[in-house]
Amino acid sequence: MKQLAIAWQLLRRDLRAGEVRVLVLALAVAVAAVAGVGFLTSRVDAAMQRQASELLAADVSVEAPRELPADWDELASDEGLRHARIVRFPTVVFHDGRSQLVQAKAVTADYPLRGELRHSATPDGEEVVSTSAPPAGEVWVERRLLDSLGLRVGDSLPLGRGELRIARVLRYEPDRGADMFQIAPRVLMAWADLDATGLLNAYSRARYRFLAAGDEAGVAAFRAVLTDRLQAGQRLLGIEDARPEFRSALERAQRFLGLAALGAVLLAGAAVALAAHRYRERQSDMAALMRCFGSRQNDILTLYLLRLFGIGAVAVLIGLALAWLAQAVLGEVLAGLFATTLPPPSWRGAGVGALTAVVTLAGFALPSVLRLRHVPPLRVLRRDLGAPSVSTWMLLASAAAALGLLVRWQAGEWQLAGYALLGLIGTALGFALLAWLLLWAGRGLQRGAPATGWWALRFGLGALQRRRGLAVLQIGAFATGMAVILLLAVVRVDLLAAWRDTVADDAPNQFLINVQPEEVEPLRALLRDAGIADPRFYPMVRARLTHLNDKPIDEIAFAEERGERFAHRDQNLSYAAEFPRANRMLGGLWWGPDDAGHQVSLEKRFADSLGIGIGDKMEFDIAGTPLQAHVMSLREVDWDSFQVNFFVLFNPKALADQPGTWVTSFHLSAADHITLPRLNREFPTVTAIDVGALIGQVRTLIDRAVLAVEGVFGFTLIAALVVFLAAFQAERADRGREIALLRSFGATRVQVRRAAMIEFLMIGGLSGLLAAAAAWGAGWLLAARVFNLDYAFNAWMWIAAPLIGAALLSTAGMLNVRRVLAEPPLQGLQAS
Amino acid sequence: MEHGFTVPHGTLSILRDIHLRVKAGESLAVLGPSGSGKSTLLGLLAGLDRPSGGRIEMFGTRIDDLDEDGRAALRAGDRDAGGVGFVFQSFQLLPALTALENVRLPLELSGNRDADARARDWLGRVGLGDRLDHFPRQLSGGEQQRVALARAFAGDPALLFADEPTGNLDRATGAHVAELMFSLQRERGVTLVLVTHDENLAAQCDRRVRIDGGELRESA
Ligand SMILES: Nc1ncnc2c1ncn2[C@@H]1O[C@H](COP(=O)(O)OP(=O)(O)O)[C@@H](O)[C@H]1O
Ligand SMILES: [Mg+2]
Repeated sequence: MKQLAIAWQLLRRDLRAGEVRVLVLALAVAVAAVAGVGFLTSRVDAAMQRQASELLAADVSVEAPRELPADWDELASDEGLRHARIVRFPTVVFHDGRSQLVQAKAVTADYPLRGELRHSATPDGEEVVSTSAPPAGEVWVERRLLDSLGLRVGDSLPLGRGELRIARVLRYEPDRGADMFQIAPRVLMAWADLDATGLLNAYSRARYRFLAAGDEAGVAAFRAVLTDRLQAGQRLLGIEDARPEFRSALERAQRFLGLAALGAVLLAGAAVALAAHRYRERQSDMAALMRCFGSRQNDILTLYLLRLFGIGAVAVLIGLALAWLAQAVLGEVLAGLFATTLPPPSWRGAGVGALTAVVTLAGFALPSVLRLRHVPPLRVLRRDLGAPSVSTWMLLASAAAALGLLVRWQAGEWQLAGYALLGLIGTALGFALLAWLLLWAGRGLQRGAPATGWWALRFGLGALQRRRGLAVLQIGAFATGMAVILLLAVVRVDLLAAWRDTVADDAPNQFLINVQPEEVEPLRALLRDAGIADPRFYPMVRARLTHLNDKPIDEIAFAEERGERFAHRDQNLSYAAEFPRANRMLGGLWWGPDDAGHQVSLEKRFADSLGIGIGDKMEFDIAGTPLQAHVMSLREVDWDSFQVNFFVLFNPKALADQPGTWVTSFHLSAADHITLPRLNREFPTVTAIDVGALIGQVRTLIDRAVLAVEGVFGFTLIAALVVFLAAFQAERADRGREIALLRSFGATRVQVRRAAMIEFLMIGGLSGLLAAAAAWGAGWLLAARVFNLDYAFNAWMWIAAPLIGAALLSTAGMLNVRRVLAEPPLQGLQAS
Repeated sequence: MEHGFTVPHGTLSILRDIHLRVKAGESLAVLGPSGSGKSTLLGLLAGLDRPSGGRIEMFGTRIDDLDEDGRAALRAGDRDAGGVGFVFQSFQLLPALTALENVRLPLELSGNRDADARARDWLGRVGLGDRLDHFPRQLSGGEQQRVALARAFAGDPALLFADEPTGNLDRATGAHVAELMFSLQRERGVTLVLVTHDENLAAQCDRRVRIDGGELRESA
């Protein structure tokens, strides 16, 4: 109790000390980074959880690419269940010369069976909850559609051959989870209006669902009935089918962001260690006095642990407040990616943040503070006796242990943790080494500076050498912080531009899918009319992969997750007599007219993911008919050509008589506003996909996600600034004494300021230079090794980064020097 | 008792064959030139360090073979349980604490219930009742040393160690602080061990000893 009261009183004093403030700030940044990520991911996670339970808008559901049997209505009613039908399909809507790809969804009157729809009269109007679908003649649409086509509630929306009135703005649908990262806006319509639009035929890319809901026994009985009747392509969905691929994507994102946040923690840790070192020095007098007054070592230890705990608690509170703010902003940025609003964050994020603070304090500050116990009481008589300082190795070991713990925890597994830890420490050490080399090389600069009239320059450069250890730390930290930001903000944009340059201007920008065989010739004529020279049509047959080398794919364990996905999704098979354009043969032979027919050519990466190669045997199921083929060749496809390309190409002999549709692609000039509407009128079941618009939408999606990542890396930059401040604090007494001495020798304030300015400009400039070099190097590696692009030298970044670094650090540094200068020189000379 | 330090090439013998007994209530001055080992002796007597050889007793307890915490326990507490106060040449006030908090700290450490009232009272006695909330840097040297005196006496010690208490002060201020110290010492009947090279200050003590060449001599 006694200790607690004293600790509380001293804590209030502690919080006024410069080094403690830096410590609190550093710790708060670490907490904010980690908790911010925790908060944000918990919101996304909760959104997915919530959608999982409502995912089906029913208790049980069957999904299929074809309409489900009519007698199921009766079967469901027999079990006492309510039921509904829905169908989702992409289509294009035209208005006023503009077009928009939409995700249409037609539903029967009882939809949704579980969950609710929310809609409003105007885009921002009050939300109304309803549990029934739009009546015939009406559509409910998402705001995004209104915005993109300039439509309003009450207008009529042309859909295929028909027109429907926009009655409400759709705000929420329970089973939106199925298309959570939906790019195309939703158009919700009545099942009864389907026929009038003529949008669906047997070849449409539609997903049909039959929904049923009711009491548990009824649901179970109905499930049993269905299980016997399920045919190929029909999938029974339960509530547990909550998009597993999104879940694993989220988990990966969570790990990545968590590890990214640890970059901030590492830098913050360096600042904490510096501040704690200074704290130990400054508290040695108190510890010695307390010993003198008769306190035992353990009393002193308790007192300092309590204070450290208090300091940590304050930092956690500030950090959590920052994290809350950050997640609110980032949540707003990400909100557009989700079809629903994000639920509030869970408190788990706060716990994670607090734990990070504890571990960081224990690893980076505790070793120094523990030493206070060993301050000899004799210090009161002999000032030179202080607490023995912590050995660097000991400090590094405990810091590495703390960091390792945090990394392991965020990574969730040892191997990733190991790589991440090596990456973090390697980057930090690499930067420090480079900084040291730069400073070492900079000695020449100092010697070369003119001897007279340039005193400030010589002295400023000299100061860098005298405080080289701290300067290395400052440069290393700040370069790290800037490099990650540059990588995201500059290099990413450069890479994107480089990629866009590789795409030919006249590359196809429109894809037409779902063209029926008898439509090919009239469509070709229409396209020729529109000035498209030689429209090429490619056949496409939908199928499912069933066996590889006679083994059912359900029994195959794929090494890659991608292989698993490739194997289980619908396959788009095509056939060609000639080797396709924009492809390169990697191995095997292309078939000639004499080859028997059962051969297939695979795209290399597709084959690799499935773990097969030339000579292997594949079996497909095409609308109930099995089809076998041997892999005869492997191809590499230039996807950037935007030509129609296929993973799986058959010898025409094997596939030509299978039922299928045709696809084509062409380049449509931006000025052409008539071809697509005409196409839509004359061929309502053909779906046009505007690749340009699609890429634009995907980019917005990525930009948003990157913004969130940048937010996390922003903490790294702030942590780097705190390292700078901590280093400044650590040398403050030294600097104060130095400045006081200079002034006692007659140096003017201007001279002193100038010398300090040179020092900070150098630190900031060198940091920026290193950051630019690192970001450029990473960009070059990515371009050359990963994306196969030519990475242009970005001169702008090389100039701007050092300038920005110099501006930031000189501002921060001069603010602090001003305070030192404000003190009378006498105080600086007396300070110990 | 004897004492030496381990230095790079052997040991440096500072104090040799010291015999010294201080009676309760007495004031003793230890005189000697700078570097003669006065502070070293004071530190040993107060139990802040252990001698290389010989024995030291405080309040009838041998302290040379006690561990640090044991000696600390002897220093803590008030007159009934022993209790030691200190005054230093460099004042040794904590810069982050106000005058009041500086005086209160040792009282609170020993669990004194009316620490605050007592600290205020003592600051009043040394003439600083109106400077309670001032930080050391806002006080002059003489004022700081008076705070240190208040701090030393507030704990009601049986024994007070003073190491050059006027060494950092000008003549007049030093004299004033010394006067205050001696009057409080007599009033409270505290045993005082004073280390100084200032003959005038030493003259005010009941008894004087001199260190020279590591040896101790009684002097007039
Ligand atoms: N820890 C130590 N190690 C080595 N020499 C020491 C140590 N402490 C004190 N000394 C030496 O002992 C001598 C006496 O010091 P001190 O007691 O401070 O003298 P005084 O207080 O009389 O001026 C000095 O020469 C000093 O350098
Ligand atoms: Mg001395």
